Amino acid sequence: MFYVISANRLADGIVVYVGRDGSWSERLNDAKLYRGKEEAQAGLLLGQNDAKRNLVVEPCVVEVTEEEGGLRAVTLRESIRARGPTIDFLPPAGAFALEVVSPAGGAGATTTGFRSLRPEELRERELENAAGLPEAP
Amino acid sequence: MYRYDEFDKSFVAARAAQFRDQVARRLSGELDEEKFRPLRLMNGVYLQLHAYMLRIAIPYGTLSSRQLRKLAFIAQRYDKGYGHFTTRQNIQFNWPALKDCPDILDELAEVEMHAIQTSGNCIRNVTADHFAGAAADEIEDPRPYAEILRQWSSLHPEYSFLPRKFKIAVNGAAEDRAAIQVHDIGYQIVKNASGEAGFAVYVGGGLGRTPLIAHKIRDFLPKSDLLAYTNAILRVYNLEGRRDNKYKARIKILVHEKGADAIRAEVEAEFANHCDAALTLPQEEIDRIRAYFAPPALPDRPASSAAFERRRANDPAFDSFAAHNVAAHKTPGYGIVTISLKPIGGIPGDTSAEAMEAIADLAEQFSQDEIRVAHEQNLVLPHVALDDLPEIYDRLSEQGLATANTGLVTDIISCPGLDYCALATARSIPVAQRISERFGDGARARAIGNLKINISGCINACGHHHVGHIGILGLEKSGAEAYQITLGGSADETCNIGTLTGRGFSDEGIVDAVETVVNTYLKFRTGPDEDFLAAYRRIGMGPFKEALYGHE
Repeated sequence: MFYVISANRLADGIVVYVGRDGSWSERLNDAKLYRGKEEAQAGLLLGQNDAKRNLVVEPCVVEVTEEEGGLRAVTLRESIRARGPTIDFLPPAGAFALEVVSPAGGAGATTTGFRSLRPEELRERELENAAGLPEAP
Repeated sequence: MYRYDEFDKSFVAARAAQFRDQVARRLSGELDEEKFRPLRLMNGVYLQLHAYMLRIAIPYGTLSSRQLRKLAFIAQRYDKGYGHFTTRQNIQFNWPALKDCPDILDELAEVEMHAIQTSGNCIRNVTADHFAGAAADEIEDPRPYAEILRQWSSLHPEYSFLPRKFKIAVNGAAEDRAAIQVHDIGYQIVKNASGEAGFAVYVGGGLGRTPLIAHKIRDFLPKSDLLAYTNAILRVYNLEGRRDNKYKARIKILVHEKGADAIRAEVEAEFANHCDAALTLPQEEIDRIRAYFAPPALPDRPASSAAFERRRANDPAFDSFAAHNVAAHKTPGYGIVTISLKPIGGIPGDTSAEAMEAIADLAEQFSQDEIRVAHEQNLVLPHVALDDLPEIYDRLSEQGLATANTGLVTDIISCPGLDYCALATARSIPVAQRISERFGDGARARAIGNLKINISGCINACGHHHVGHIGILGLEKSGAEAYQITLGGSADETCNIGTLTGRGFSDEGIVDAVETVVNTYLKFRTGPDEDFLAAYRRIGMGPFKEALYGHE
């Protein structure tokens, strides 16, 4: 059984993992791998220390498997924590612009509903996430 | 609309300043998480799966254009460009940084908004009919009473640490659009024999892991006693609510265990002891608050609009929108427009900042500067001239906001589920999206007619699945998502808790199962006039069970 240590960063709540150099990383693939429950418990102590140092909150042990593309969380919940919502949740491009286009200004027909990703799109997103990342240990 | 007075203004500003200091002390390490968690929750800041979540109160679901624009601004400036309207008429932002939350609260205070009492064991945002002040079937606007309750309950020292959270809803029309019978207290405005308006009082309803329908403990409460009676109910609950067990701590369990008659007797005794002048509402105070909600001065118009009727006759898409998304207004020549936040395949309740801006513009121009948030996760333009509907429809269409599906099978209520929520056991949104895509926006969905589907991603039931005509509950079974179906639930004045069909369905199977249920209804209904709920009440569970499990 392989494990990593995860938490949420205090200042912004973003999901992070204890990295191989002991710092916190947003990428599961950067996470230090703990082999067996005992090792993981030791890792969790480090995480809890960082919680005491007010770097992170709610440190926890996450079970992972090693696969070709890198590390993968075993449970759906942790997989969603690692990879983000499984739905295409971001508004269409342009919504980030601070200047808001008035409806008469030719914003065009945008949809406000964000659809769920098709399996091939999910795979694509996974590959994008995996691209350029260091190999898992 | 209610406007803050000097007291409200300084109260909210002081609270925002206090939270700014608390966040600074947390970030500096002066406060640890254990001390800070209750403080952030008191200001609506949760920690979810991916980030913090900020829940902002929208009292009785009423917003001005300025307020909605501010929400759009917050979505863009501090979040990822969108927000999620909830089943309690609130809005949630899914990605705010803790360090930004004090700035967000300052922004909100500028437009008379806050996140106080959107979490914790206190009296939460008081909800009301989203058609309040506009609906043709209204007895009286419920919002002044919701506002009075809001003011009285805000940081009420006696009720800031109740056994559990406490939700109050007020409805002022014949049709219950506020789901009052599944609230801790539901107030229904009624008239007594002498024509005087007051409240029928319902207590002890709620969903969650133990769904229970409220009991009516009083047929008629004079308006002047609204606070004294609410106080009596809360005193009984505060004293006797089960603080020993979080899962039995809601008032519904107390009412269920002691019986409605016993609770009624206790509340009445408490009320008799304490219905003193301090909590009796003076008529001038009721009138003062009611003045804020005075009906807008709508110019006289003929009851029917030639432009509206002409467009209906010539444009089937507009006709469908008019049929499903426009409700009767109390003023002739006007209508109430529901803007569906359920585009086909979309995420129920999610709205981009651009859409919020566009809707704020429409409200400013065409709806007396008012927007409502429906607990069904849609937005409403409450005061619209029928003459203006063609233009409004065209502008909504440009924004992809003209889905004509209010009340139809694709108008699905869904909690955020496991895609966001730390409590969830299964995903809700993708199931909603797949059901929506399965039934689509065409003749088939219209032929199915009124049908409410509610989806919750765990037993806490934020998606109100127990009161969906078809309810879906997502669970985790041996590491995989599993979905149970309930049928026959209803949140209106015929309130009913749905019945479980039987064993659950897999993630792959759930949409087919819902389609089987819908097809069974279509097969057995007496005709298009008999909607799903009526048909279910007539034929019962049998045919649906047979269709779902018959081959087993």
